[in-house]
Amino acid sequence: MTPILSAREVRKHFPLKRGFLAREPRRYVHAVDGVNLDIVENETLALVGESGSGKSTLGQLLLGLQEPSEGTVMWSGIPLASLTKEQRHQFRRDVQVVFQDPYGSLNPRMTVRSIIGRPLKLHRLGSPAEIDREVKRLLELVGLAPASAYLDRFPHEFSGGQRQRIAIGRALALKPRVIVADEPVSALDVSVRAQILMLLTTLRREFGLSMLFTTHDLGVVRYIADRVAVMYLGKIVEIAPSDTFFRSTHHPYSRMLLGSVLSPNPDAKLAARKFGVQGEPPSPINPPSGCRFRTRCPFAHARCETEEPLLRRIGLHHLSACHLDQFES
Amino acid sequence: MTEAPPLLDVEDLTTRFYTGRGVIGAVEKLTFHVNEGEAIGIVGESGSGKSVSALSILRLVPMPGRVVGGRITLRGIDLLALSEREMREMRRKHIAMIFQDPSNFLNPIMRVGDQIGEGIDRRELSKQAVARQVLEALQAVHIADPKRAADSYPLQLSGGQQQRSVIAAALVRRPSLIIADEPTTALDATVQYQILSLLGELQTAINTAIILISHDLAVIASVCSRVYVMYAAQLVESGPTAAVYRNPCHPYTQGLLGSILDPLERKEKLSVMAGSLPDLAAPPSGCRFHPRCPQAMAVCVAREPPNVQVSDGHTAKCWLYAARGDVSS
Repeated sequence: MTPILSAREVRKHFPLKRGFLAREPRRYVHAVDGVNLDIVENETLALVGESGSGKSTLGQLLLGLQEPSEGTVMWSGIPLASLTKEQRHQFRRDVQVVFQDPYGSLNPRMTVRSIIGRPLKLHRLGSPAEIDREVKRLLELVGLAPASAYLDRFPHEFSGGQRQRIAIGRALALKPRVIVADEPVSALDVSVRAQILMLLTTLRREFGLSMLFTTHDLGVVRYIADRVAVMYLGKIVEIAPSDTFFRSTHHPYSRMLLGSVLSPNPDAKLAARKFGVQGEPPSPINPPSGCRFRTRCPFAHARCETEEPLLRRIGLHHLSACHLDQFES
Repeated sequence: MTEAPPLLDVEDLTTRFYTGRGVIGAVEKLTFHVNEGEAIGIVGESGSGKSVSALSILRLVPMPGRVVGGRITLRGIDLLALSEREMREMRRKHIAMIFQDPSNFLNPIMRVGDQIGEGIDRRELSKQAVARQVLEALQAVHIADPKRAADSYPLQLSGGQQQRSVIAAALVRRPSLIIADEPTTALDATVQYQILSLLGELQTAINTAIILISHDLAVIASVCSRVYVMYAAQLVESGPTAAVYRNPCHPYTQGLLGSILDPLERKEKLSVMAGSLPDLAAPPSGCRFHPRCPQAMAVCVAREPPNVQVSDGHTAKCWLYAARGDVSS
C-alpha cells in the first residue's frame, strides 16, 4: 500500500543571519537532518520531541509549507515538486492542518461562517446555499451546536477550546485523508484538552482519517497514537508502534523522556526515578559529532563520538538509532 | 499536625477587578495557610484565580484589580496594612516570586550575575564577596558553568538556564517564602523535571516554604505535601496531596484527575468534563461548578455549598458531603 505522505532523506537547513562585514562562513540551523517517514492510511503517528527537535519543521515539510533543502516529500508516491496543477489541487484537499495556537490561526476579522466556508469556496465545492449547509453540518460535527448560534460570531468571542474546534472544522471541510496537527492541545487547559482529544479520536474513527500529531506530551501520545516517532535535534532516534514503544522503550533519549514524565500519583516520587535526566539539548547549529544525544547520554562511549548511529531494526516495526544495540543483539 | 503558627496565613482573601464589563471577582474568600518550610500547591485552570491569589499576597495586583477583603499575615505581620515602602522591603527580603516566563523577569540588558547580585544586602560586603555569593547561588541551581552564566546576558542562556538564574536570584535573598507561578510551563519536559527536582532540593536545603501554582496536578504532586484546588475564583478542595489524589471528593477534582493522561498507564476511555469555565463577571448561582457537575442536585443551584471536612485536614466545598461531615463554615 502506498503511504499517503512520505519523507525520503529529507533535510531542511535554515541559514543564520550574518553580521554586516561578517567574514566567517555562513552557518546553518539543521532543523531536519535526514528523515525517512511514512504515514499510511488510517493511522495516527505521533511525532515526539522537545523544542528545537525539528518536529514542527518536519510537519511543515510534509504539508508542503516548506520546501526541503534536500530529499523528497511524496504524496501518494508522487514527489511534491513534480505535482501537476490538478494533482497539487487534490493534494491541498487531501492534506489539512490544525495549528497549536487557535488564537493565531483564525482570522480575527472573519466570522466563523466564512472561516469554515472559505476552503469550500476556494475549491468551488457547491453553491453558496450548499456551502452554508455544509458549514452548519461541520460546526455541529465538532461540537458547536446549534450551529446557528455560532455562525456569525468572530473568533474573539470564543474560548481557546472552542476556537480549536473551529480550526478542526475548517480542516475537515475538504474531507481530507490526513490531518497534520501541530501541538493541537498544548495551549489548552487540562479539562478542555481532554474534550479536544476525544473529538479528534471520534472524528478519526468516523472518517478513517490519518493523523500526524506533533506533541511533547507522552500522555497524549499514549492516548492517541498508533505509532510513535521520537525526534532529537533533527533526527528520528526511535520509531515503533505505540504499545511496543511504551512496553519496551529502547533509545536512551526516549527513556529519558519517559523518565521525566510526572505523575500525580503520590507513590511515584521524583527522587525515586531510576533514570535521571541530565543536561539540556545542545544547539542545533553545532550538533555534537557522532550520536547527537551522546552529550546527555548516561551510556555514551567512545564509539558514540566518532560514528553516527543509524536507525536499525531491533524488533518487528521497531527501529532505534543507538550503538548499544550492537551489544545486545 | 503542627502546633507552631503558620508562616503565611491567608483568610477570606477577596480580589476583584473593576472593568468596563462590570466587576470580576477573581478571588473570592480564599483561606489557606503555609507552614514554615512547607511546600503547598494551588491547582486550577486558567481563570481559576490562582495567579491573582499569588499577586494579592505580594500586593502586586495590576489595575483595575484590588484586594477588597480578607487578611494576609506573614509571621504575624499584616501585609495588607504595610506601607508601600515596607511592602517593598518585605518582597526584597522575605517573599520571592518565580514567574512562568523567565525572559520577562530578567532585564535583557543587564548581566545575569549583576541581576542576581542585586538581591544581596551588600552594605557590609566587598565586591568580591558579592561575586562569590552570586557564583555559589548559580552553583546551587546546577548551572553547568556558573562563571560564564554570571557574565552572560539573559538572551545568551537557554530557557532552562534562565529559569535557573531566576531561582538563583531568589535564593541569594534566603527568602522564607518562594511563590512559583507555573515555573515550568514554558519549559521542555526534561527541563521541567530538572527544575522541579531543584525546587524540592532547595526547599529542604534552605528551609524555604514554597507556594507552587500550576494547572498540572502532576507538577504539584511531585513537590508539594498539601494541595489547594481552585475553581472559578473559589477554593473547592484542599488536603494532603496523597489524600486528595487517592480520594478526590469534589466532582471538579475528580474530573481534573480523570482528564490527566498518564503515559505509564494506558487509558481506553478519557473521562471528560463537559462545558468550560464560567464567566466570572456573572458566576453561576449556588455552587459555581453546578452547570458542569455530573452529580448536581437542586440544592447546588440554589445555595452555595459549605466547606465540609471529609477527613483529617481534607475539605471539600460540596453539598454531597454536607450531610455526613461537620460543616466548618
